[in-house]
Amino acid sequence: MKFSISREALLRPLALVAGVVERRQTLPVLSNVLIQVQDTQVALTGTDLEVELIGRTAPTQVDEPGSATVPARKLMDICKSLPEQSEIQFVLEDGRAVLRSGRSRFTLSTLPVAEFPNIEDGQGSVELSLPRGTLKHLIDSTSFAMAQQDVRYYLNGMLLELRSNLVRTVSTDGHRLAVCSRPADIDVEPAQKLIVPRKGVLELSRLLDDSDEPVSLTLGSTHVRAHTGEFTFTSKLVDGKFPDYERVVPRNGDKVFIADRAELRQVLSRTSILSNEKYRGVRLHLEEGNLRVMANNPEQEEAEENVAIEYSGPALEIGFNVGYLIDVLGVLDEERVQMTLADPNSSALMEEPGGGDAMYVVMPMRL
Amino acid sequence: MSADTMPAPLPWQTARWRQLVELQDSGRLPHALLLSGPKGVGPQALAEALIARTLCHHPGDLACGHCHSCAMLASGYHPDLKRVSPADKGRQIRIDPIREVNAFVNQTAQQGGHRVIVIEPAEAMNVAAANALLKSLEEPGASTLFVLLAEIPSRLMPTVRSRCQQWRLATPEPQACQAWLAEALGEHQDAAFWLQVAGGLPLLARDLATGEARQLRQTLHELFDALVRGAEPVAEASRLAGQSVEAILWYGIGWLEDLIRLGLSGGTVALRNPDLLPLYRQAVKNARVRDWFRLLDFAREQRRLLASGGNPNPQLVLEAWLVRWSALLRS
Repeated sequence: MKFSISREALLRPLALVAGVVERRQTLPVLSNVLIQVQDTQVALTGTDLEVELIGRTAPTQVDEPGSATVPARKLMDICKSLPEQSEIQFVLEDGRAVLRSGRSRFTLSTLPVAEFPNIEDGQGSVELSLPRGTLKHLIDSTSFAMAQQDVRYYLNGMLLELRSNLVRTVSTDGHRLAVCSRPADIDVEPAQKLIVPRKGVLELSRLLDDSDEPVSLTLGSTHVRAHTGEFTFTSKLVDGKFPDYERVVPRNGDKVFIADRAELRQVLSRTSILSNEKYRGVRLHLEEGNLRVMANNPEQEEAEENVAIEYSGPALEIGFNVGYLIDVLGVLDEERVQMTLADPNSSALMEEPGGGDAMYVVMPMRL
Repeated sequence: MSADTMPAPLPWQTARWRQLVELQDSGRLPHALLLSGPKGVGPQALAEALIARTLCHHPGDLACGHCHSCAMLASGYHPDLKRVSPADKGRQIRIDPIREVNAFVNQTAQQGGHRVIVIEPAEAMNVAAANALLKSLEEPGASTLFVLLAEIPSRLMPTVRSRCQQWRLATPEPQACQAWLAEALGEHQDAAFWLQVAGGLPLLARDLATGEARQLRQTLHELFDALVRGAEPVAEASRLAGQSVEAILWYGIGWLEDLIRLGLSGGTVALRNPDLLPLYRQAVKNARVRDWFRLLDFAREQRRLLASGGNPNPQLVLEAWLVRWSALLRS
């Protein structure tokens, strides 16, 4: 293998690929990045066995195609510290990788390519294409509600549901639920439901931008793969069944109020200071035109705030974990928020006024 | 690398292997296999061959040895293979590695094929670990294979046993393994003799006939001889310092069983150690069969204590053991 490439062309994909590679690995080959050189293309692959990222870039010149694995972090640190716009020549000599640039020379150890656990192509059954912005919006609107290391392992991820003309993401940790769906120009029959693990969701969101450029998804029985022009991202799936989220969405709410989102968020953050640090409970008093938010802690300190809302109906008192409410208000991007309640023992539904593409369900707490 | 270097079953396991291959090819292999049988029969070899074939992308009669999966396996690590063994030899398998197994089973295979979990020895799981495994073991997702290896399956919790299909590997016919053993030992060794010493277990026979194990047997033989002549057992015990107590007990139990056979029937055909016959004849004169049985019970109890993770003082165990022997031999 022998090729040369500019520092900038190598550094951008390398930084992203090396981000997937974890620092502490039980297996030496996993701290390496796989470099595959073809005639007009250099592909870099990094994996932590849960997610895999392939970054592609264009070399200046290819003298000899081939492949090798070299330590990811060391390669990145070398490239970073070389002067800008420098040209790097990469040669494989006697099982060692030699980097030359100007008057510098680095020799890196390699490991056999056959031992690198990259995922082979051609396992997908369904292929479709979405605008990147749509997928990013769906992920960012719901990812905060994913569970973390829950024994119900199927909650430690995000449900990605694809059916004809509709994409939907759902995540829940058992206390709150986030659902977001958008129409899309896709044709999937029968509908596909897969659970992408937490790490895969967060990595995928980092790779996407808000543009209308397409990202193509390949859905397999064991993997989901996302291609953009420069990157191919692959994640394993969670092997389980996601709970039936539609049954959780409350339908019997009759007390609907609308509040200013930013104001309500500030009010809640302030009162949360004096809530119980462990349970973070706050009490909401719903009255005509006014919402009173109260919190107290074991030291008998108290906070009370009033905020004007659009509401006319009977009074109601209900408790919530304030963290869950703040999370939801943080991801909604309308100016106002609508909250639907029924009684102190039923979950609340939060959404944009009149119902946007996202729905959030928060369970109340008994105070 | 070629197909010859891929793990293969041992010659006397051919019939079992064919059954496994047939089941696997027709998609009827159970998701959890409990391979039981003495170590000397080589259940590991059968398990390794099955694991390699399960993970291989293009399996033939064995794993192909050429595909990406086989290459990774040959390098000593495969992302879809999880091995669980006690952290240090003779100890228990604790709950933490089993929790890792549960996390491993909850996600799909990295290479898109099968996920394989090997627990060896399965009896080493403590109660908490075995209980933690039950849920995954009962209903794993598709294309998952658990392989549990157990020498004494009755030590496993019944709830674990009932979730696995049990395959017993019996002691092979001597004809089936003598050729293999003769090749393993070299030409000038008496394969038939060592197979008899090992009670018909070919791998054990190979180990006994070579290196330190053979030396130990010689030492014990001399020691037995000395005890029969009336040597002081505590002094003799010091000759065995540093040797594995399990191995010494194993020989002792084998010889006791021989003595009982000889004492009860008088026949010499079934003896496992025919070279010791002169010593046996002398010993049989000195004690009653009932006393041999009592000593056998003692040895087995000691062995059970060792296996269950006890950590006795080896010197004391040996001395107690030899004192009892010599008391019987002298009576």
